[in-house]
Amino acid sequence: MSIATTEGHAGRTRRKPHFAAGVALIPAAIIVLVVYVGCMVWTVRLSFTSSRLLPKLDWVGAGQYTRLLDNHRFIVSVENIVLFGVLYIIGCLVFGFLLAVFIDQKVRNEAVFRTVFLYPYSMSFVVTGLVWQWILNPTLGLQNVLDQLGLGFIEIDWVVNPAMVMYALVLAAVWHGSGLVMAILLAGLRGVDEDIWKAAKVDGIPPWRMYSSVILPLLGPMVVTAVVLLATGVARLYDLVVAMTLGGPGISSEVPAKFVMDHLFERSNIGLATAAATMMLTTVAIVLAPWVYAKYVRQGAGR
Amino acid sequence: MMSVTTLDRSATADRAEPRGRRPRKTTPARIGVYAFLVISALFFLIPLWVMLMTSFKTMDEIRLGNIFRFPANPTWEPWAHAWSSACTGLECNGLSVGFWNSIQILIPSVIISIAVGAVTGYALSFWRVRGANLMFGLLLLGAFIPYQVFIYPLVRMFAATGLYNSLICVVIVHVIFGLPLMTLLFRNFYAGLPIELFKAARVDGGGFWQIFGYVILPMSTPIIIVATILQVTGIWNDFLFGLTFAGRDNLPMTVQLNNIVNSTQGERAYNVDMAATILTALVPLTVYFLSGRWFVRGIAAGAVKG
Amino acid sequence: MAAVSVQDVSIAFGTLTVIDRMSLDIEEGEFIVLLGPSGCGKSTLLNAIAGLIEVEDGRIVIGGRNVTWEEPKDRSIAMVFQSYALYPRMTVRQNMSFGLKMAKMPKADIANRVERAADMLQINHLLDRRPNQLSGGQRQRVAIGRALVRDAAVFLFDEPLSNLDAQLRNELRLEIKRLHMELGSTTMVYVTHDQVEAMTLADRIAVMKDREIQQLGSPAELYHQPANLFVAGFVGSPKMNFLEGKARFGEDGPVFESADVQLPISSPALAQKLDDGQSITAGLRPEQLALGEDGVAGFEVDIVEPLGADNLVWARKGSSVLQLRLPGDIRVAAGEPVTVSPDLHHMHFFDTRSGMRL
Repeated sequence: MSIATTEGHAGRTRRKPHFAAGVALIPAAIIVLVVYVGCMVWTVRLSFTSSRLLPKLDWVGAGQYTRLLDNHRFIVSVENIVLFGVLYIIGCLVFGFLLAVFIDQKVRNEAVFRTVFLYPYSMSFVVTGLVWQWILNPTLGLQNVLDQLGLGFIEIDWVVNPAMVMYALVLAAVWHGSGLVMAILLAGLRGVDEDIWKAAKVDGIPPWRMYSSVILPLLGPMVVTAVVLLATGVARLYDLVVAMTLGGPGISSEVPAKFVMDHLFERSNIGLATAAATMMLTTVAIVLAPWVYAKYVRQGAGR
Repeated sequence: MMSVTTLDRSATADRAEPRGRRPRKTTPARIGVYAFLVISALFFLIPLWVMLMTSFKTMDEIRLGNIFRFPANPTWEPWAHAWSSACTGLECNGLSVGFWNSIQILIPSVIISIAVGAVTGYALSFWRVRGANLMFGLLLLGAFIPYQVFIYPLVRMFAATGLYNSLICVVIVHVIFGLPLMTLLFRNFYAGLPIELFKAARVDGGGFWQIFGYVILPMSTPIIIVATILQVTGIWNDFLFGLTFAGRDNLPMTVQLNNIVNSTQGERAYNVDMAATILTALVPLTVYFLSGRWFVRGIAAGAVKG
Repeated sequence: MAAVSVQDVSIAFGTLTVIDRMSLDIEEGEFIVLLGPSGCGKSTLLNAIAGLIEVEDGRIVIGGRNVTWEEPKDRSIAMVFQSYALYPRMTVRQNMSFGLKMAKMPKADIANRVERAADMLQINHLLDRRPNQLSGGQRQRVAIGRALVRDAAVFLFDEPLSNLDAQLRNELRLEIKRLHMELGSTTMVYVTHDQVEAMTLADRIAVMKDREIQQLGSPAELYHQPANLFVAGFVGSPKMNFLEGKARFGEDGPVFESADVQLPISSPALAQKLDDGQSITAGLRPEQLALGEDGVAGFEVDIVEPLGADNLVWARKGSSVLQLRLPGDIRVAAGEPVTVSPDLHHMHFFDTRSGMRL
């Protein structure tokens, strides 16, 4: 998903509302009203009911929410997603930025490097999870190689070690997502006026200083875009966990999205599940609000 | 004698003076750049390598061997098994079932979502419709909201209409959740076209659909390619919607893959698992390697304009 | 001693040779303009002097020092770019002092230099603004200021005015000329495709085409003695008229003869070089054509473009079209028959095949 919008032509020119154009927008309008608004409201409403296997429209106030906050599994999920989110976003940003900068040094076979760095992003989280699950297999994977090399004291037990399992997920996710950041930032680097680099050479400004003082601030909007894209992925984190750890060992790699899915379809606790979903919604809204404000409202006011 | 010596000396001096291309020195910085890139490339490639190697090994070799090593006796057996007889839960018909399901989901989902996105983007960028901006804003916000917020009500609605657990159901879901990105993509693209083009067509008497069909659509090839790449990879890689809405008979390849690998009883056949994993990744990988810069364009579409 | 000396320089991009063994000596304090259409290699040459492009062969000497292998920052040059190339998120002051800061110059000295340059360009009030708060003209002033603080021996300008509108272009052109006068001994190398800029600014102009210097000379030389058809057509506005024809030696002496026009060749020295029947091209500047009794009769006024001080008149005879630049008070109307009388002493003749001046 991408985020930036360009002001459409319609905003600039005044014309009478048009009937056929209105008709063409009906499918989108239905989707927005029924799904994006309707389903959201429905979910929020359900979170205030005592629904279990089937939806009931009673009212239990914040009951599900207090139960949620007492739910150990949910608390672990939240802690996990925060840890994962921070490490994943920082990891992808730093690694992706470095990749972009190093690729931008007029290297040979640039296209090959670019292709290699981005290919994981084309694959699904399920595939990513399964590959890394196998590489990190505590007996036959990397561990086996280390043992053979006499390096058996290094323990690669991450997927079965409750203390390490989240880092294993971060590793796989960074492998999957760094290329995305690289691609976005590289496009930004390529958009930098070549004359600026020439001016810097004439001025005798070392490249690292150019990157830190001139280029990085210029890439700001692209970094924000990358962060928003990655953050959306964090909120949705589900497939990777299901494929790689199934939330285990125990509940040590549970995440909120999985908590919702499990309580909806396996544990038949619709009230609790929708309460968790509403919590996710609120969090995303809080995180997103400043960005939306900066991007659209303030921009719109200045226009 | 004297003059000869002088001449000689000046010739030597001349040669020593800088002239032409600066001699190439391999600086430590240069080596560092390549070292970083090569090590990073290895990090990205190792999983692919391990997948491939494992998929051609026998289980005996896997138990004893090194995951990085080339198979001693390469065998197609795991691939054949993964494709046609691996067990996904109770049934043992292999991944081929999931592959065809995914194809059946993919084709209508891609076509319909692009069509709706193109028309919506066109209407939003060239025409004035009451409430259109509000709708577009909500649509964009919808793109960021976790799917878990919508899933249960959607399940109830589809159940009520009798569509739940069907191909149509999962296709509709893909169209719904593909709409924000598709609309944004087309709207941004159309916003970049000269408005005069549209005005000229209006002056010539074109109506909404005529202008779309004769003027706008023929110019949309690049963005349609980008949208197709995004949707093909996105929908093929989907797990959540397939799992939730497709129903037991229509499960897409990703879900079946996960079932093969993660719900095996007894000892796991890692070689079959990896063969199945590669098979599932094959479609998006092919799209990626064939499309090259177009894939990047898809990612950058909109992002660069930020 | 030459301030900048380009000696036998070849430049290649991959296997494509862009400049082949070119030499050019630029005197100290000279304002030299590299003039030519896009793709003629003028910017490439400038970038090579700056050290931003590596040369394949030959040497570049600046201020008596062979700098062929030196970094740009060590060549005592400063450069101004078409796109301004200001550092975007820095204030004007930071933009101007960044390079000096990197060179570890004491803070007080930096402040002094920035102050002085800002005075010179009258941008003191802009010092705390950022580039995106400046107009195009202001940005280019800042870019010039950034070059100025480097106290360089040689200034390089790469089409600095091409992104500005006509009004500002004239203003800044004057500014650059004044700067050159004030700085005295600073050498300036200026790349442009605009012949008006070249004529007004340069001490000498190097006209380039197809990666070669066609002619190197003062603006007056270029105007009065263009070396070939290309220079003749490129320098001067409005453009020189060309008539293709043949040299004939008849009873009245040597003449130039085309289908519609016959003109005597007045210079005996020139006539000696010609063969009877040789294909030659006559060049007549619009300002050296007048209406009169003598001359070529049978022209008809096609279009008149009044400019106030001047009238540009297009006159046609058969397939020959001439543009005349006439004083504004001479009134002619379209369709009027006229006799065009050229200034025979200022006519130019070129060999049609080689394009060279005769």
